[in-house]
Amino acid sequence: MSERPKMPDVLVVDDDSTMRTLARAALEQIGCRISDAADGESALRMCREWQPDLILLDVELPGIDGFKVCSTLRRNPDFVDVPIVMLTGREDDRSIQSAYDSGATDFIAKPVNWALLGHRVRYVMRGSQVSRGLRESEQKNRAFVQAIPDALFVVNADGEIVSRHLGSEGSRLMDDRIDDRTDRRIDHRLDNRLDNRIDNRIDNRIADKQSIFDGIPKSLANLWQRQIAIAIRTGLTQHSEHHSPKGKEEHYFETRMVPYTKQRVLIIVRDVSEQKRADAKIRRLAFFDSLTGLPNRQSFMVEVSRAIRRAKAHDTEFAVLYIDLDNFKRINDSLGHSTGDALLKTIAQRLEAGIRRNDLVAHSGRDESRLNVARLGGDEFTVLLHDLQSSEEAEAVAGRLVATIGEPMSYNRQQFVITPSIGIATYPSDGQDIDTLVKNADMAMHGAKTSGRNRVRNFSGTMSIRSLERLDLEDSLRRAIKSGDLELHYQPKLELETRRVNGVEALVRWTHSARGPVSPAKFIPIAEEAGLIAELGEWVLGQACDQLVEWKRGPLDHVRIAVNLSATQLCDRHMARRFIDTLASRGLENRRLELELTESTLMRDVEDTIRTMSLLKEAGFTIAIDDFGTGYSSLSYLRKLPIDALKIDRSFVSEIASTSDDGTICSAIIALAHSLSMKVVAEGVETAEQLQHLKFLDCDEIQGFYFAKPMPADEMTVFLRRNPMAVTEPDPVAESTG
Amino acid sequence: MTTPAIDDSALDQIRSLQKPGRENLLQKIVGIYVEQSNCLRERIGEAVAKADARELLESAHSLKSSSGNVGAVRVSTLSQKLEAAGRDGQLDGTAALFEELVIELERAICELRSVAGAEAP
Repeated sequence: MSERPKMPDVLVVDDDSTMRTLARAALEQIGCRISDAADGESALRMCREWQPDLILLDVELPGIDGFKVCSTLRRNPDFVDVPIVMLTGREDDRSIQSAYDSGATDFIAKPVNWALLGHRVRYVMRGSQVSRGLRESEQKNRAFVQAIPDALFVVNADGEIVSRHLGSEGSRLMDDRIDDRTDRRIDHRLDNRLDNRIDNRIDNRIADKQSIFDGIPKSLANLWQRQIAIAIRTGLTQHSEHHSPKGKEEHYFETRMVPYTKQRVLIIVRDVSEQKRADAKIRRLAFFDSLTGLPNRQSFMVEVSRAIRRAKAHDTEFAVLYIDLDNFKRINDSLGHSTGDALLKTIAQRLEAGIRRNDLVAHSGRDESRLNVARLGGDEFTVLLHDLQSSEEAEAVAGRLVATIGEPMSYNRQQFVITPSIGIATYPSDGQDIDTLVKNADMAMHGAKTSGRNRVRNFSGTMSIRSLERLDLEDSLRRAIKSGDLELHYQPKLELETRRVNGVEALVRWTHSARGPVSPAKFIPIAEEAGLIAELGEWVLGQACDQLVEWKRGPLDHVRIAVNLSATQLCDRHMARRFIDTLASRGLENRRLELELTESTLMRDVEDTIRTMSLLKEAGFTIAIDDFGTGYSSLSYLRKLPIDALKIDRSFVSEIASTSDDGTICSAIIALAHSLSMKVVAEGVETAEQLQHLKFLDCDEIQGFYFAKPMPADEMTVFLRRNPMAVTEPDPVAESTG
Repeated sequence: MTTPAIDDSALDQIRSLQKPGRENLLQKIVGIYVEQSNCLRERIGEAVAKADARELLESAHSLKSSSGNVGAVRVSTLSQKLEAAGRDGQLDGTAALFEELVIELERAICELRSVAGAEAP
């Protein structure tokens, strides 16, 4: 008995006491607890106090009638689910309709069949429990749905929105999706509907439909339309992704379309912007260089393999440009990494900008860029040039990059010139897999370094042989510096006014035991690349000093020897001290040694250079700028530097007699030098004409084959001994004018 | 031939609700009905006399309802007619209906009393 479900507490509301008495008797019989009320007001009061499980409510009541009582209770959340059974006249259709409209659960027509009342109440209770369970589960579902940040739509086959839920993130979707202009109104209306949807039935009364396609781009609308149709037809979930086309922040959305009920599709739109951004960040870290923002080695490799596939498929060619900055390590070593990094960033920007320009020049009107740039690490960059039209094209692009990168740049009010060496390898001729292509481009780049830097070299089949040769030379050079296979030759400089030789330039000569003489143009860059240049410089200094000591013993103590100073030496803080010590230890005056620096050496790190040079100058050394006119000297620096002489580059001298431009440049350099109280030396003078021009322009000294070739020390000694004769005898100036 | 004033099946329903050991439900209902119907008869008579349609509607409705419960079929039918007259405001003929109602109510009460008296206490 005790297992029977608990019977409800019932409130009987009727003004007729026979009704109340009989209802009580009937319902007590099935185990209900009963309270009763004779009018509407006391019924409402009792409801508040007693919370019945079921209400038996007469329609005709004194005061507030039954319908009013019913609808009043329905507005109270506590009574939304309580079954209310109304007692109506037997054939009173109007009352029955009103009972439903006011929210009654069921009705019983009078006269009441008392014997059946108990059963009737049981049925009503069971029904209400079922519907309460449904409602509770629906509320749970709704709470669940509300908690979902996604936007949910139920649409029909035509894409009309049947119902929708905008998640916390969804409102952003709608803000972006629906243009402000198109409809705040719609949003507002839909939200109201959502609020009102405590009763499920309202959902089915949506009057005018809003289409899911409204306000979204046409291409996306077309895709969704297809997907809805497919989802309905196949019952399979459809996926798509899109991003909002405008707005302050790009938004990414992932959409799933799940078949719902017949002819209905549930569309779940999720804002995946955060995830996308995280993905992008990971991608950036994995595939992009954090310093320059350029693609890194990883993505370069991916690009190359992609390029190989593409070239294979379309039977086209592409080029790998391997770019290495000349002597960049020195910047990091001497000025610190922050300067180095800043310059790398600038170079990266120039590369990108240069590539965009090149891209336009090379191929306007293409959708896809033909060029990819990447930073492999350190001072190494790469450029991929797709759909190569000719081998000259890659060279042209590389040539333009050399020019772009090599333009002077300033950082922290210092000026720098950084030049690149670029090697080119072409698919398929120079390699058909990533490794070979990259290795060969690298090798070509080293070829560019070896042949003087700041230039472009194509890979060729002989390159690999040449590279081996280079390694061999590097090794031999290292041994030569130690064993004395090197030799200093000297080339005299003629002072035009006095016709005397006051100075000679020391030049290194190397005779390889197996190969014979090796040109300095070949081994000096190798020495620099291999880090042998400081050692070589020390050797030259020692040799020159020994020579000065020897000449001092003879009557040649007025002759100065000029040695070339490399950038590496200039960056060495102890260099000045060592020079001073070396000369002092041999009892030599510092003014006997002249130091020659190239323009580009000077421009590397101006402040340090000025400091070192000032030290040397104060110590009495003479300082000359070599190859003047080929670099990017700034006049203000020239004035700051303690310079005694400028040596005009041979390229200007060689054309001085044939082109007016070079004459003008020489004239300008000479005038400039003189105004700064510097001497001018013309290098590479090879003809009488050149000499005449230089004389006319008031050049101070000349150096070149026309006057004297570089010669070994003993020959030089002889030459100097008979110097006054040497001047008068071969002096063509004297002949022509005399 | 006169129809019985009371429908026995209504009384049977009431009897079926009787709980053992409790006050006799039928007697109780009859008692309430007698008291209530006397009161309602006076109200109806007055409403008819004063041609008060609204009062007629309410009092006749109440009598209809409780008469139904005790199986006083004739009273119930006449009450319904009076109720309808009151609702429609058509009070012609209500005096005759009321006279008939008084007679039928007397018959019903008489019959109910004898039934109730025959019940076990």
